[in-house]
Amino acid sequence: MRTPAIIRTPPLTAEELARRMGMPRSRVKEIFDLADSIVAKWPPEWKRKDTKRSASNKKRATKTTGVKKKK
Amino acid sequence: MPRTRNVPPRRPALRRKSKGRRGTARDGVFLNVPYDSAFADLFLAYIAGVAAFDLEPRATLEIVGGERRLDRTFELIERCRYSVHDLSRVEVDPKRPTPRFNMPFELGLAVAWQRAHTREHTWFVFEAKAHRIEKSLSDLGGTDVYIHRGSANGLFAELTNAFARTRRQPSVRQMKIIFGALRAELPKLMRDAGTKSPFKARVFDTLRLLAQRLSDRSVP
Repeated sequence: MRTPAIIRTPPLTAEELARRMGMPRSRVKEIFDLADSIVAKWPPEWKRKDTKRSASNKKRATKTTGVKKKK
Repeated sequence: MPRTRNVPPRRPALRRKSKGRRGTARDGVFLNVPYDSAFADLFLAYIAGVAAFDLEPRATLEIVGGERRLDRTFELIERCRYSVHDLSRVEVDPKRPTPRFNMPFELGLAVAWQRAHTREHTWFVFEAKAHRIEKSLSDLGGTDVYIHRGSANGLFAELTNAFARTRRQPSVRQMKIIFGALRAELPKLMRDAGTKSPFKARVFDTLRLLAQRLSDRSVP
């Protein structure tokens, strides 16, 4: 039997988090900036790397589809 | 001691694809831990560890305002998919000889909630010493108790056992990295909030958001 795939959805954005937690958006943004500044000092092996699958998903998501232009 | 779960292990809920680019709210974990300065390190470790599993730390520290505290506490437990009850501070403080019953009481609320809604809530009990709970809370006999031995490393190892069924599975090392960052930032966060205690609503909100962001940036 095939195992159903778990669809990964993006984490909440600063706006959504601010609304959910009842915090000002600027404060959430400030905390996110602090986190990003901490991560910037980390060695690369500590940082999250995109897996092969998620990288290909990203590629698929950005791929444009539609009608070919007529020459 | 053989380990038996208080509820049958459950597969993680499949996340539905939401419309557009909206994100998904994390499952909440109600942290029922002592708010005393000797516990500050483990408190940070709980926040770091829970966030590393892509879960949202919640606590009664969030409860502000005039509404009845008990109602808000119960509402918080209801909203959380999991609850973690740390019963490692059962000793009576000689300076304040009145024991505090809040934590076992909140564990009781979670147990009652889980009995009524088995699929919606799972509770975990953590302790510093093995077998002590058999004396302090013998009603929990036969329950799986996670022994962290009072250290952050011990706690991270036990969290990997408790949350073995969640979608994101961080390593102990990844939890330690997030914990280290929280610990380094804590003095500044407390200064900014004008307090000397990490057990304040503003500090807790900042710590959990920071931990979640760091977890998103480090744990695949």
